[in-house]
Amino acid sequence: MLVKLWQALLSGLSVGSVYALIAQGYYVTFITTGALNFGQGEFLMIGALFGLTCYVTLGAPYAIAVAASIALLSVMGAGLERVAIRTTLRHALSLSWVLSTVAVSIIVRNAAVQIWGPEQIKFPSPFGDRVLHIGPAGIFPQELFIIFGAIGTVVLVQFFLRRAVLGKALTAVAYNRNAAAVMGINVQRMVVLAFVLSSALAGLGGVLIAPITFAWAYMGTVPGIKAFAAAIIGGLENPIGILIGGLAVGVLEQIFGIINSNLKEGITFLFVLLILAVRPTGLMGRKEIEKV
Amino acid sequence: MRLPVFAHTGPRDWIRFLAVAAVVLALPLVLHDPFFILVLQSLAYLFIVSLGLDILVGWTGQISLGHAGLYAIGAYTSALLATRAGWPFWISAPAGVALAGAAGALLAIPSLRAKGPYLAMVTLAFGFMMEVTSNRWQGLTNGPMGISGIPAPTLLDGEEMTPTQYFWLIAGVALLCQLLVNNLLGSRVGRTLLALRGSEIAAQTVGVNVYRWKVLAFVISSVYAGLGGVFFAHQNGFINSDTFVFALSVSFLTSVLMGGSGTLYGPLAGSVILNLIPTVFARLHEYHLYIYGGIILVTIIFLPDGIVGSLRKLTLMRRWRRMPARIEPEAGALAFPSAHAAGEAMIQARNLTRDFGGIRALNRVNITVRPGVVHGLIGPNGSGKSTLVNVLTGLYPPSSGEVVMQGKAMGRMRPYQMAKLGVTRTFQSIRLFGELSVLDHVMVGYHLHLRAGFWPHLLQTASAVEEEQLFRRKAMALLQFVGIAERAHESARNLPYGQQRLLEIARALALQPRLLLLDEPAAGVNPTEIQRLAKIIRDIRDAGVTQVVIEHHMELIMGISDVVSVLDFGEKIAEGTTVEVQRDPKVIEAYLGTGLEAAHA
Repeated sequence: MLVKLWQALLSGLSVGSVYALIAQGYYVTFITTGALNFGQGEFLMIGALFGLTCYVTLGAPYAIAVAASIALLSVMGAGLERVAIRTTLRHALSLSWVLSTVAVSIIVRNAAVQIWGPEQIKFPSPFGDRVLHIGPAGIFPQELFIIFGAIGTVVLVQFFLRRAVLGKALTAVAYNRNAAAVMGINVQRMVVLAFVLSSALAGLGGVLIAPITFAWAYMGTVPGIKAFAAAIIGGLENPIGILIGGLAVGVLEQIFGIINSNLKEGITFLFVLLILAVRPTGLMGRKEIEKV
Repeated sequence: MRLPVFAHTGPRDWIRFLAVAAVVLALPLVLHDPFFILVLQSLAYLFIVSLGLDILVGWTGQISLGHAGLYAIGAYTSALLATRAGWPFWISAPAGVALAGAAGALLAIPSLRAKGPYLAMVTLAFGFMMEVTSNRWQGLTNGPMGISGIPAPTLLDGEEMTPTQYFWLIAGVALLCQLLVNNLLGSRVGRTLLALRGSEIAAQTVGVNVYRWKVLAFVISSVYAGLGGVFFAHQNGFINSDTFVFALSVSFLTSVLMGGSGTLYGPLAGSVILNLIPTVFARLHEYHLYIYGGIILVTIIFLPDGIVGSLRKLTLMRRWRRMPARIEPEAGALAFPSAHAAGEAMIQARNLTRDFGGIRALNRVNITVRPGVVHGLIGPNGSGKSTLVNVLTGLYPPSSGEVVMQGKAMGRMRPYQMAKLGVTRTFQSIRLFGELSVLDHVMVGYHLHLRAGFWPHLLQTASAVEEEQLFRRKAMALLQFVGIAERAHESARNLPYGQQRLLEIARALALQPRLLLLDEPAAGVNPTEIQRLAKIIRDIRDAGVTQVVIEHHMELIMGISDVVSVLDFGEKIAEGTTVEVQRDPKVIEAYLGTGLEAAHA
């Protein structure tokens, strides 16, 4: 039993760090615009499939495939902002962006089916399939790479937001849009940047995770939604909360997977409902006091 | 701009409704093609779901990304009871609907306080949970293999219904659903939901129990979704997990937005058009999802009001706009029989302390408000005046100390509970109910005095309609009292600032309060209006209502107050008559700083 738990913890951390990576993308756009991309999972899928094309079909090195996916998704992020976000953000129904980003995701998924077909495609890991042993549990090198790659990226993103001039400008927009504009920051450009960054993270997540799942057109939806759940559990405005939420969801699923594989699929959603009933802004979110 | 018309179903509405009903029910007589009848059945039950969803989206401002889950509950419950337990449709169907309604009530709990994406997550998580359940809990649902042999409903003689008869059943129920929605949303229920959407806090201060009303909206919406699911299951004879997916929830939501959320007939238009698209584009099925995604995008971007909403904008221009009938103000609406209270204190703050994080906004404040007086509350900005009012009205719980109302300690009271005791207020930053008309704002104020509830309004009984009319006349009298009666039918949003403040007073008076707290009623009000405000406050006192008034306008506060308390840095530094307070050196210091001599010393 203990071995199983240890194994679940390791696998959970690797899946969870991908959730955390995607969720970090939700965080970046949420703080700047109050909106997020409901098709983040589809963007992850494009990252995986495009990476596959570069790595397998074209024979490029894995690093180049990763870079290419990130580049493609950055462009798609800018496009998404233009088509689905800028057009709907001022609507009376405050959640119009939910449907507009879902619509984009439907179109993107259909395109992926036409380009890559509906089948699951194996994405060979650049690190081979030899199982490493950490204590009594086994882990693929790719899984280790995911953990370090994803968490490292999350840290880098935070570093960027807090230290780099461009990142600080983005954070300033997040704190106070109008004040940032008065200070000469191009708010619109920062919003685009936020969506570029968010989409790039999804693309990276895709190439990272594909070797341990499969790459196919329908791979993205569920991780995208679970990453959203992770962000909500942690608290959308709290980057640390999101990281912990992502890892927790990954581990939680694996642990419940020991008991019952069906339970594994549903537990995250049950968990998020229970948490929201008690804490409406997530475990580590800011508690809103409405000023009167 | 959307102005709901709460004028009741008149003959014209009935004619329009019956005409639509006749056309709908006659459709299968004209078009005999079996495929077409099947499509009609589907349109009818999908419409029911959209109609229910719009109660959430259009009227309470909640989004639901999980309606497929409620639809699934209705479908599976009825299908399982019919196939495994052998229940007849007429018993299994209500069971399915009831279970969906119960799920909706549960779903309301996490939805109560969650906002924005957090709120979206609630329904999304629920939808996915149901999706996983239908797919994975094979012992119950048989997963993708599904449940087959679900019987069609039977007639009285035991014969199974023909497709046309089944269509009549579904369409008849759908029409009834529309009628009930028209009644409900065109009445007090819709008005209260819109008020909640506009400002939950303001609605609470006139006694609306937010939680109960949100649960109501969720339950009606879920019952409709369950109904749709039941009809679906018994139409197909077979259901499996492929149906109840996120994409279905998206399609329900799209149909509402496409038709126009918050319009009575938007869901009808939206669901018919959206659900006909796959039929029309059947030959292009490879591109179906492109078309579908494109349609959602175009709808959201270019038709934010939906089809019906946009059409109404056009027609609202002139001709079709119903001029509301003139309403004669009711005499005696300003008598507050319960107001005159005996006893030493109307309300007391005892050692009241309130902290926000590390900041102490109120520090052991003791204030006694005697009955029947105007009690002024002054102090520099940030001195804790508004916090005091917020704690007294139950908006914030005190960190320590207690609020005592007529000798009884209040404990943890919510604003709507304080409203039941006759305590209400106005707001420093004006809180109106979105697009409700001026008159409807006051009508919401009468919330606790309206006796007719859900069922009378659902059925539009004579007593409900009469009560509504009586209170309209009363509301008119209150508007006349504060001097804005001539603007009764305008959207409150369009009133100038000063009149919005007066409207807040009228809304609060509709509660027939014993204690009224006015938070800076003169802020942003012009000098002539301030004269009128002073008279209004005196008249309210003469009617026996105790008032606490926060104000920076010294001339006003000194002119109307019987007692004045002064706060500074969260502490009470002085109290007394206006003359006493003005002479108090501590008060002068708080407002003007230390004197020159003191500064030099």
